[in-house]
Amino acid sequence: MADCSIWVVEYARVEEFARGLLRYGDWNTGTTIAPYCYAVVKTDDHIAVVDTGYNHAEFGKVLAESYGVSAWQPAEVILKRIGIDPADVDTMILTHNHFDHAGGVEFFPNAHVYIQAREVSRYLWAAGLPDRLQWLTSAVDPDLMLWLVNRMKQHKLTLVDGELEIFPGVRCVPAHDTHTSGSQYVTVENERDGRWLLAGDNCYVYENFVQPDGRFTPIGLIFGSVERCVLTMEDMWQYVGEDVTRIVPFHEQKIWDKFPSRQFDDTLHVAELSLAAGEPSRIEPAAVAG
Amino acid sequence: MTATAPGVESERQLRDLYGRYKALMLAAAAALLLDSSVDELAGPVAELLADCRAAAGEASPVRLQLAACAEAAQELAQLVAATAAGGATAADLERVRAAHRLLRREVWTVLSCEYVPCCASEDANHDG
Repeated sequence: MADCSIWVVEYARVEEFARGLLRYGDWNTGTTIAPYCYAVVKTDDHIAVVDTGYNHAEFGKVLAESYGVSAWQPAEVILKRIGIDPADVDTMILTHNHFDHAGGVEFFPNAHVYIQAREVSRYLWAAGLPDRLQWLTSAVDPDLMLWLVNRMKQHKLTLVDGELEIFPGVRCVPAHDTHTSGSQYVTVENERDGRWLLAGDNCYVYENFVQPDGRFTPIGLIFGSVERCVLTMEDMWQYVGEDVTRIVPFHEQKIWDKFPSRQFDDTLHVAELSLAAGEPSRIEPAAVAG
Repeated sequence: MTATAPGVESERQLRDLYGRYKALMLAAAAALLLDSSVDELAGPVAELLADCRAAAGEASPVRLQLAACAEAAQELAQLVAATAAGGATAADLERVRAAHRLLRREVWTVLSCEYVPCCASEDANHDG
């Protein structure tokens, strides 16, 4: 158990995101806004980011433009809104290796990185397959692998095999063969307000869990197994005691309505999910530096 | 028999060399992450470097791109050699990363970005 503050920060968005990607089977139902977010978990001893966004240059810029991403801001700008310098982030948990989650790793020069070993090994395996099979490596920057090597040489890389407590109250949990081969999600167990689950792309929106018929519907972009996606959603659902508001999707615009939040002049949002004892709110206008 | 247009042949050659480079670069990354030997890579990387240099030395509409490929292969060869000799440094790795990024910027001026989904690839030639 721990006493963590948790924020979700929006660093970009897609204004016209195909609903069929957000929820499997929603074909031909048009588009919606999909924010691009990552999470920040802060304790007295650690500052962790769960995912990193991407860098809107080179590979990131090319892919982002192809997906219609707009309003991008770097970590330096985004984290200043919650009073954090990216250089002070000591922990980086990557839910998976897609560019919009792992493409901003260089913004955090001092963070120890945690990624599932399987996410790396399966990518490297797939990259060696014939060109006709390279859809399997979509949205991953191969440069990330060399960056990970360098971080390993600095003794700041843990290739996680399964479940691991990162620091007290914060764990990464494998979600293999779901959205990607080696996905994971992050659980936070707070003394003060209970359990949170930072989902990465193991769900995109609350509607993956909550439907009138009571049935889960997985995301619409799955590199692993649909069956594993649905069964992982059940694990997530049970962890939070069937309270969907404790599951934090990173592409859900309704998060700004469910939690105290603020929209900034550049239209991007910050949501404040949990505040540790003594931690000031970062979404009051007077508390915001930029 | 049909003749192949010079531009098409050049692009095929570039695509082939770029693909071989990426495969070897990722194989090197895999070996380094797993702390396993890179000895088996030395031969294929040397062969790639020779092929890139030969291609870059010829008159070609993609000569700039082929030169970038040769540069990237050169940095990769140095990384493999340094690793085999006892340990690549962070600087060695950063040079490989920089050469790789330069290479793909050049490649994407003539070939579609291979990472963009096919549904969006019509406009995928970028200046990086």
